[in-house]
Amino acid sequence: MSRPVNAATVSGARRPAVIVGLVAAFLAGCGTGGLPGTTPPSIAPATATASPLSTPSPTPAPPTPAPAATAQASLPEPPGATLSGIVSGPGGGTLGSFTWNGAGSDAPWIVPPDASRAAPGAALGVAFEPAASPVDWTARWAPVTDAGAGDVASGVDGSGPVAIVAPGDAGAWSLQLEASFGQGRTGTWYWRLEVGP
Amino acid sequence: MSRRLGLLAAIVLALGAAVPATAHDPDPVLGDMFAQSKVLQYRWAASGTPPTSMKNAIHDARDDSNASRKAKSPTFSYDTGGSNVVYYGTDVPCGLNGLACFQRDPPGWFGMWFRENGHRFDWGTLRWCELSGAPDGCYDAENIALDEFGHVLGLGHHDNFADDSDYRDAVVQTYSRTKPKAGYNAHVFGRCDVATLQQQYDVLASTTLYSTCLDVPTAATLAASSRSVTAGAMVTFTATLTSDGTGRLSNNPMSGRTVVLQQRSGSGWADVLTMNNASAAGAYSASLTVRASQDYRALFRKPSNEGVRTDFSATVSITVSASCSGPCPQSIPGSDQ
Repeated sequence: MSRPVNAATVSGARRPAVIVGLVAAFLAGCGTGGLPGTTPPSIAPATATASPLSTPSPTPAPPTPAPAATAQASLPEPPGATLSGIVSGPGGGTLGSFTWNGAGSDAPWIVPPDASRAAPGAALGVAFEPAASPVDWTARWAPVTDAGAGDVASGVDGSGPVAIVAPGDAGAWSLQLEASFGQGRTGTWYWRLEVGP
Repeated sequence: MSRRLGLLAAIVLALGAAVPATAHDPDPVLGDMFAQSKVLQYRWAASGTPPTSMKNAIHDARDDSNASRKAKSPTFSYDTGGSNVVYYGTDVPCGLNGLACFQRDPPGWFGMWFRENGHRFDWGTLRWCELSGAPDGCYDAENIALDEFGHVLGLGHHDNFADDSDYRDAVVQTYSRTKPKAGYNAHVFGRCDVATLQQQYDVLASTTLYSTCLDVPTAATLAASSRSVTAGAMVTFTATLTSDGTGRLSNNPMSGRTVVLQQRSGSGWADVLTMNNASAAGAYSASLTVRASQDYRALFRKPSNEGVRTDFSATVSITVSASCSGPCPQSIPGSDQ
């Protein structure tokens, strides 16, 4: 893997809010049904609150989700994800690729610059905000290398609440969580974990 | 290694409720579909026209999508008056970390955005291979654009095994890979992309192979020109083969396959001959000189290159009477089918 890494960093504590804000802005633009190009959407710097993506267009209608079967079915955007069971660190996951209500984004395997710490073999959970329980999920661990994330070393699938176990090997690990919330809505979140005693 | 196995064992024990991976399944579906075989025209955004190399990569991806869909899914075409817009530049609604993104609202429209080359994320710098001399670590724009075209057609991100071993089953993936990772420059839809396109839009033609990411039942039938003949008479057998799946994959004629005529042999069946493709879609025929009463059936064996199941027809019994010295009664073709 030779993914480019580093550059400017964003505060780990602030990142989840920024991500959610930008995703909300993205989906707000989706809600306007705006076609791109005629009035390109504006987006604020990552360190600031995102501007709404107002791209009015007479043509398209906003994507209409199917009727909600559960409370989580009404989520307008991918929820934030926070890792529990860690010793220290930001805990907030970085949102990568997602598909949600007729829109979506493609991102690489992300190794966030800021690490959380966890004990070897620690039981970890992921809480979503707003509260939601995935229909199913897959968690994968890859070692962090100089070039980003290495090959996937292990993983596990599950349904309902996310429950995973930290690697037994100490070191720097990248955790990817791919979760599906039904109706074609999926999100992928990433954490960097320093595993050690 | 043993520690890793131990970890995996611990995970399995800790997660008694863990469910099997859904990999090797067709890609998830994203909402409504466009009309079958519709031509979706796109144009460049006036305020965000891609550089030439990027344009070429996106056009190439369009061709890749059109050529590898193997389904009656829409095709894409560039037209300066197209109602769907493709944008390249800095103002993309792709969230913080998206290289590219899309919006779709069938049957009306779609939009597609590509982040500008050189964009600095907090985890790295975006390099499109086509715009940067293709160094290691770059992203193949043609591959990413094919991924976006797949989304527009209704494909969600493919569910991979936990160990990621099936990553190449799909181009429409949960994360984009950089050069030189396997699959980073895949330029045809993967088998599980195609599977969903076939489920949602139907196979392209009766000769189109069903994706090996599917497991579609089939239905074979067999009829004979006559079921009561004299020894040495010629009997023409006609078989049909159709898909027996659900939705778009039900009752589709299947042409160009290998259908075998079998006859009962002791307690089993033995191949007699391979039937020829007939003019009608999904039809096969063979003629046979029969000399003794015998049971026959048509057999379609699951081929290794197609995601369909084996099936055989009901038995057709041919009764042969002894040769007659005088004028023989004529069988009436089709009367006993």
